[in-house]
Amino acid sequence: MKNKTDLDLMQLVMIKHRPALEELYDRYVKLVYSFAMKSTNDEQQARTIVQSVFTRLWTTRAGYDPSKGEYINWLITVTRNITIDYIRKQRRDQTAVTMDPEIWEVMPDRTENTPEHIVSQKLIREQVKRSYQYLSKSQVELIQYLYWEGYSLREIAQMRNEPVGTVKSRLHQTLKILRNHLVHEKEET
Amino acid sequence: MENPNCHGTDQLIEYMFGEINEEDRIRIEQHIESCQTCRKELEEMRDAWYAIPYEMEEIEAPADLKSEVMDSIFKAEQPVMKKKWSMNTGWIAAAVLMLLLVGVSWNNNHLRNQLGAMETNPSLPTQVLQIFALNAADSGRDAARGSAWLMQQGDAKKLVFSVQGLSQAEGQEAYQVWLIHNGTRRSAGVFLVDEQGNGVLTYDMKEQQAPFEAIGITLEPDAVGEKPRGKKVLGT
Ligand SMILES: [Zn+2]
Repeated sequence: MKNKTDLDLMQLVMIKHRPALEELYDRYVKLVYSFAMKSTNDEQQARTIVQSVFTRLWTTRAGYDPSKGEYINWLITVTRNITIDYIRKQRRDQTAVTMDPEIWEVMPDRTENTPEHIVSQKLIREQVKRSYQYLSKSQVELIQYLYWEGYSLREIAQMRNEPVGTVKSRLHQTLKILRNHLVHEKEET
Repeated sequence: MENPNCHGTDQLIEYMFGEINEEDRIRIEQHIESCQTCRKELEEMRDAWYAIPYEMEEIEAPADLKSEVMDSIFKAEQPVMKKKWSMNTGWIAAAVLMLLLVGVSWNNNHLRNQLGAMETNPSLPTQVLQIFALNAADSGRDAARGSAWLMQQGDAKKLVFSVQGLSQAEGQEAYQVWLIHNGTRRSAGVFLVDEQGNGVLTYDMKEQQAPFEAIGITLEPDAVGEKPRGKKVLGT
């Protein structure tokens, strides 16, 4: 199992090969659990989310389509959808829109699980962490609400008692800062 | 945004997050098709959005979580296994059902131990040796398809089938898999499909068995035949 690619493992999972699911768990539980903790800040809830994510991997019929992007990004999308659904239910708020599935569809092709790719994942991590230093407190807070906790732009505007337009332009600025650092670093390497 | 038809970034953000009405969504979609500026803007925002989780500090998951998760997944499977043969069926269940169908008692301890040992030996890597695509024998029924994986775990080899788009067998009928070598066919087991037309089958390859170069699946009048009698539905 150890030398299988993520795609191999997902194909084995599709035909109900339990050791393949366990291997995926070992590879990604840290990521899924950390994600859930960042969103909920609660161990019990994070455990429930981890369980839902791996149950989804086991039961999904659609599966992972490698032509649409890297496995890790697909898994993050699945994790985020489940996490956001979960915490929205906790908030008893099911009126908010969901956003991720549609965005996933249009993601450009990425390279497979090559060593270069693993290096680039590491690089992105460093870049993003560095770019966070350039974000203001209100920009970081916006990401926490929007990305990690799944509030809609309108809900955030309401909570902060601001016009939606203000929230949108803050988001635009925030994404721009993140993006500029990604670009800048990319050109350096 | 030189183009006067361009939307402001506000609208692109609304579009990106789905907080937009249907009419505007279609309008923006059409515009993006033909406007490189807006497309690039949107792409850059998405790149940034997808980079966000990389900022996360990774923390170790609690050690006891794995058994909790696995127990809940595989316990939930069990009722399904007993009830019906479907894509949710695990290897052991598939093998058990196969044995039941061919009239071998599951109380056979030797067989059970053998299957149990294969299933629960996670220390041995499983390797896929070969994949076969199975296509409809009758071109009018091209919804039917499937694949077969020849896998090896340690010294054990097994052939795992997964098929879709078959109609449910009636009465005593069953689907039967044949391994073909130099024109002779030997049975690799029988299976049924669920309401969605999905079925799986696991077949243990024995060391002394002759190789095979092709696979055929037929719909048989019953599950105990030694030679194909029914109509071929899938094949390599
Ligand atoms: Zn435009």
